[in-house]
Amino acid sequence: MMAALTALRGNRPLWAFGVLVVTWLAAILFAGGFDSVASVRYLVQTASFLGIVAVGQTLVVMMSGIDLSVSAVVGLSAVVCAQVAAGSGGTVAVLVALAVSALVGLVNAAGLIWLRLPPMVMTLATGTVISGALLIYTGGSPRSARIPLLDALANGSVAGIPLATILWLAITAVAVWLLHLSRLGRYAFALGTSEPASRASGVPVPVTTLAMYAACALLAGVAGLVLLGFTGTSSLTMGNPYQLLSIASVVLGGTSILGGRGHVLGTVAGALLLTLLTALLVAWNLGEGPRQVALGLLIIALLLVYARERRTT
Amino acid sequence: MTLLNVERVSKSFAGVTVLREVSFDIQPGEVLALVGENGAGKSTVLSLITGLLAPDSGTIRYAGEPVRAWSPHRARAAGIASVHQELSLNPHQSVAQNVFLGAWPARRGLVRHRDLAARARPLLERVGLDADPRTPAGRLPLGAQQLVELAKALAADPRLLILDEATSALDDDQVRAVFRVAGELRERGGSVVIVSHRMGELLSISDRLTVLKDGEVMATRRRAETDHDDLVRLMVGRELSDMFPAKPDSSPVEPVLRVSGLAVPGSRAGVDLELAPGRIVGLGGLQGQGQREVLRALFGLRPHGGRIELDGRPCRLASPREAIRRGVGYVPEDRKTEGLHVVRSVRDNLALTSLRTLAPARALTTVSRRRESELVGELIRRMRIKAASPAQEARRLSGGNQQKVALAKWLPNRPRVLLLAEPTRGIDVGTKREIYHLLRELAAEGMAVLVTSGDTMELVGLCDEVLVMYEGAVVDRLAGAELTEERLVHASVAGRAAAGEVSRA
Amino acid sequence: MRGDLDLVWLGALLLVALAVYWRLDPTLPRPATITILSAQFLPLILAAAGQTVVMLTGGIDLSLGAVLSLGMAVFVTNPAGNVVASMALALAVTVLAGAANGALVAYAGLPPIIVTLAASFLWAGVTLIVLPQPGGQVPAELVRAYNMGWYGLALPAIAIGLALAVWKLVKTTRFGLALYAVGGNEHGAFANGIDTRRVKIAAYGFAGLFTGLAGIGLAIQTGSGDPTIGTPYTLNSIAVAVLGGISFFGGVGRMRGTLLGALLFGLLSNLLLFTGISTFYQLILQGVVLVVAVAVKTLAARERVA
Repeated sequence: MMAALTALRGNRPLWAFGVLVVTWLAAILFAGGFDSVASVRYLVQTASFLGIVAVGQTLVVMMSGIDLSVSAVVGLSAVVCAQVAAGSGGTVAVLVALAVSALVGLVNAAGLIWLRLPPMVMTLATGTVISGALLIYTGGSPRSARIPLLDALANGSVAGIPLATILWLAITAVAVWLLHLSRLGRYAFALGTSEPASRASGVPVPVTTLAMYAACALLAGVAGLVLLGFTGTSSLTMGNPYQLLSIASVVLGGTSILGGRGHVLGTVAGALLLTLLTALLVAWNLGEGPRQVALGLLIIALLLVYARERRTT
Repeated sequence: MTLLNVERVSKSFAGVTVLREVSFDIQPGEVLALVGENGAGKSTVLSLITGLLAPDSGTIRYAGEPVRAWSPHRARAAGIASVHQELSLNPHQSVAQNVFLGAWPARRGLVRHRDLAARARPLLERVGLDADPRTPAGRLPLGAQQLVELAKALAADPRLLILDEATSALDDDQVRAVFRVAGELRERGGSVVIVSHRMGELLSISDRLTVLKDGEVMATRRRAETDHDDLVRLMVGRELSDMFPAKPDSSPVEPVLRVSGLAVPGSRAGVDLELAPGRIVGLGGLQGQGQREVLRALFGLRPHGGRIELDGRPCRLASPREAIRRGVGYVPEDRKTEGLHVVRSVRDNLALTSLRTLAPARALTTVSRRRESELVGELIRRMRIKAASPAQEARRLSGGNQQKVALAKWLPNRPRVLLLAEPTRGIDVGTKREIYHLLRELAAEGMAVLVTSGDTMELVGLCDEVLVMYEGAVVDRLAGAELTEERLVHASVAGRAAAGEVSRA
Repeated sequence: MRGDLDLVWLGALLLVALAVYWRLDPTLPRPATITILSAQFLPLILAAAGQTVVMLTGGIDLSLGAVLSLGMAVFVTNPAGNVVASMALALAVTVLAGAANGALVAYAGLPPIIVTLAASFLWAGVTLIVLPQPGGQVPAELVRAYNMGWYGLALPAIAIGLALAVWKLVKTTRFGLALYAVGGNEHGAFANGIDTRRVKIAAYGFAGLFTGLAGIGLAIQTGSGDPTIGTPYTLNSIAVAVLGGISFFGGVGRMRGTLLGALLFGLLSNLLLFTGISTFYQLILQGVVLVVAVAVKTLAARERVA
C-alpha cells in the first residue's frame, strides 16, 4: 500500500493529469464559460495543433535529445503544401510536405550521428536554414491555399469530436506503442539514460536516432498541415509558438528533459494544460504582458511541484 | 590524547539499521584500517566522520570535544581530509588548480597561476607524482589523478587523513607512494584511516584493523595479532577456503578467437593472443599498459589494426553491435557509465541485450512482457542478484550486485567470448568468490574468457594463462607452474627493464 | 594547448573574413567604420558573453533574449529621468532577473534549460508591461556620439573592451576559478567545500549584467526600444558561444573564443550584404556556419582522442 502510494507520487505523468483536472475544475468554478460543450470542443481542438508537435517532441526528448527545428518544420510543411497545391493539387502537396518534413528529421539525426553535434546546435541550425530557405522559396510572401482534405481535417468533426483531436489521439496511440511497447522504444529509453552504456550493450544508435527524429519532424509537418487547413493561409512564422511550447508541454507532462523517464500520455495532459491556461488568462482579459508573466510563473510553479530532477549531490 | 573517538554510534536509513552501536578510536600517529564487506557500514562510518551524515545516537569526539553541527566544511577546517575512490577533480582545470580546489590561495583577491603552480610542486613531489602542475588534470592517467586527489588532501595539512578505496586504481609503485605519505603523516603525529578491499595492502600499512560486519564492530586487532584468514573469517563470518575454483587440466583446444598484431592508434607494438573455449586468460602487468585497449578493441569500441579470426575466419569488429552479433560480450571496468544504465531498473538492464529474442523480427516489434519477466527472473535467480525487486534501479544495488547485473545481461546471448575488465574492483570478498566460480562455470560451458586485472592474486588464482603487458606489448606469457605471483610481478616490472634496453640499443 | 589551437583556427578564419571585407569596403580601418561596426556587433558580443558565463557553469540561458529586451525596455522608458540613472536601473533589473534564474536553477533542482525556458515567458511578459509597443527614446546626442564617434573615439568598442576587461579580472578571482570548477565537476566542487549554489546564482547574475549591457547598446544603436527585438539573441548567443569553443557540458572554453566567434558571425552576415545576394541567404549561411564550425571541431577532437 505504502509502496503503491510512493509509486503514485513518483508518477509524474499522472501528476500532469491531476493538475489538468484541478485546473479545469478551477476554470469552471471561477472563470465561467469553461463548462459548455462548445468550449471544451474548442479547447481540445486548439490543443491538437500543439499536442501533435509535442508528441513528436516527446519521442526525441525521451532519447535525451531536443528538437528546436519543430517551429520551422511546422512553417515549412504548411508553406510547401500551399505552394505545391497551387500547381499539382492537394494530395500531392500533402505528400510532398510530409516527405520534406520527415527529411528534415533525417538530416537532424544525421548531424547528431555522423557529425556528433549536440542536438540543440544541430536542430537550431536546421531550423535557421529552413527559415532562410523558405524566404527564398516564397520570395518572402507565402501563399494561402484551401485544400479540401486539410480543411475537413482541421474543421470537421465526427460525433461532435473535432477531427483534428481524433487525429491527435490516433497519433498519440501510435506513439505510445512506439515508445513504450516496441523494441525501438526500449532502445530510445536506453539511449536517453546513458549513451555509452547503450553503445556497449549493442543498442542500434543510428537507427534509433534516425527513426525518432524523423518521426518528430513528420509530426511537426502534420501539425503544419492541420494548421494550414485551419487558417487557410501559410506563413513563415506560423510555427514559432510551438518551439518553446512543445518543450514545455513535454516537461509539464512529466517527462524528464534529461531523457529516459516519462510517458507520451503525460504530454497530452501537458499540451491540454498549457492550452487551458492560455485560454484562462485570455478569459480574464489580461493584457499580453501580464498574461505571459502569469503563464511563466504558473509553469515555474508547476515544475517546482512535480518536475524536479533527482539531485546528484 | 585520542584524536577521534566513535562511541556507540548508530545510524539507520528509512527504518533499516546500517550501524549498530559502533565504537572505535583513532590515536595520533596511527594508521587504522576499517575492514568489511560491501554494505558492512564502512562508508557510513566515514560519512559520519567527515560530516556528510549525522549519527542517530552515540557521540563522536574529535580531539576530545564532542562534535556538534558537523559538516564537510567544519570537518575540513578541523583538519580532516579525505581521498575517495570516486574522483572529485575537475578534469578541465590544471593539476595545480585542482590541488587547491575550492581553497585557491589569492593575493588581493586575485589568484596567480604561477604562484599556484609553485605551491603545488612540493605537494606533488610528496605524493611521488612527476607531472606538470599546469596540465589539465583530466589529461593524466587515472592513477595519477588519484595521486592529485591525495596531494589535494595534503594541501589542507590534515591531522586525520581518510583514504577510502583510494588505492584501487593505482599500480604497485603508486600504492607505495601513498603508503609512504601515510607513513610520513604517522611519523609527524598525524592519523590515517584507510579502507581498501586489498587485504595485503591493509596488513602492510596499518597499525590496527577494525572489522565491521553488518553494521557492527566484530573486533579490533593489532596488526601482529592477525592475518588474512583471520580477517576474512571476521568479515564473512565463516571460512572462505576455496576462494578460487579449481583449474581443470588444460588439454589443447582449437581457439575460438585468434588475434595477431592487434594495435590501437598510438601504440607501437601489436598484440597476439588466442582464446579457447573453456579457458580463462588474463592480461596482467602494471596499470595502464594497454590491457584496457585490447579489450575495447576486441569489443569494437576502439579503432584498431591487426588480424582477428573467429573460428578460423577473419572478421572485423568495428562496433559493439558487430562484436555482439559475433558472440562477444564485454563487462567494462567502469560499470556505472558503460556497464549499466544506472538509473534504469534491474529488469531493463538485464533485458536490453536480449531484446532481439524478446521481440524478434524488426525493431518495430512489440516486446513480450511475459517472456521478458521470465528471462529476468531466471537471470536474477541464477546469478543470485540481491535486488528488492526487478523494478529497483540499478544504482540502488550494492557494487557486487551491480557487477552481477553487468555480467548477467550477456548470458542469454550465450556469448562465445566474454571480455571482463577488472571484474571484481571494489567488490566484497564474498561476491568476488561468487564471480570467480561463475566465470569458471561459464568457461566450463564452453565460453572463452579474457580478464584484465590489477590484482595479481586474482590473476594467478583465476586464470589458466596470463599475458603480461608492458607499453602496449605482451612481454611474457605465464601458464601452469610458471604462473605464480612472484613471476607475474617480476615480469610486470622486468617489462620496464627490457624496454629500457631496447630503447638504448 | 588544444583550446588555444582552436582559437588560432577561429582567429585565422576571422582574418580571412576581415581581408575579404577590407577588399569590399576599403574604409574598414577608418574610425568611422570601426565605430559603426562595433555598434552593430556589440549586442551580439555581449549577449554571447552572458551566455558564455552561464554555459561555463554547465547551464544554459534560454531567457537571454527576453532579458535583453527587458534591459532595453527599462532603459528607453527612462524611468529615472536621466540617462545614467536609467542605465543603472536597467542593469539592476537585468542582474536581478539573471540572479532569479540562477536561484531557481540552484535551489529548485530543475534543469537550466527548463527553468530558463519558463523564465523566458516571464521576462518577455514583464518587458511587455514595461514597454507594450516599440517606442521609448534615447537622447539624440547620445545616439549620435555612440554611432558616429565621440571626439574620434569608438564608444561601442570601448564598452566592449571594458566589459571584457572586467571579465578578465573576475576570471582570476576565486569566484572565477570556482565557476570553472562547478562547470567541470559540480559534485567534486561541492565536495571540496565550494558553495555551488552561490556560484551559480552569481554566474546567472553576471549573464544578466552582460545581457543588460547588450540591450542598452542595442537601444542606443537603434535610438528606441522594441519589446521583442531580443528574441533572436537567445539562440544566436548560444550559436556564437559554441562557435567560440564553449562546451555545452561546462567548464571548457574562454571568453576570447566567444569574442572571435561573435566577430566572425557578424562579419559574415555583413559580407553577404556586400555580395549583393539577397538577405534571405543570411539565415542559411548562419545555420551552415554553425554546423560546419562545430562539426569540424568535434570531429577534430575525436581524431585526437582516437
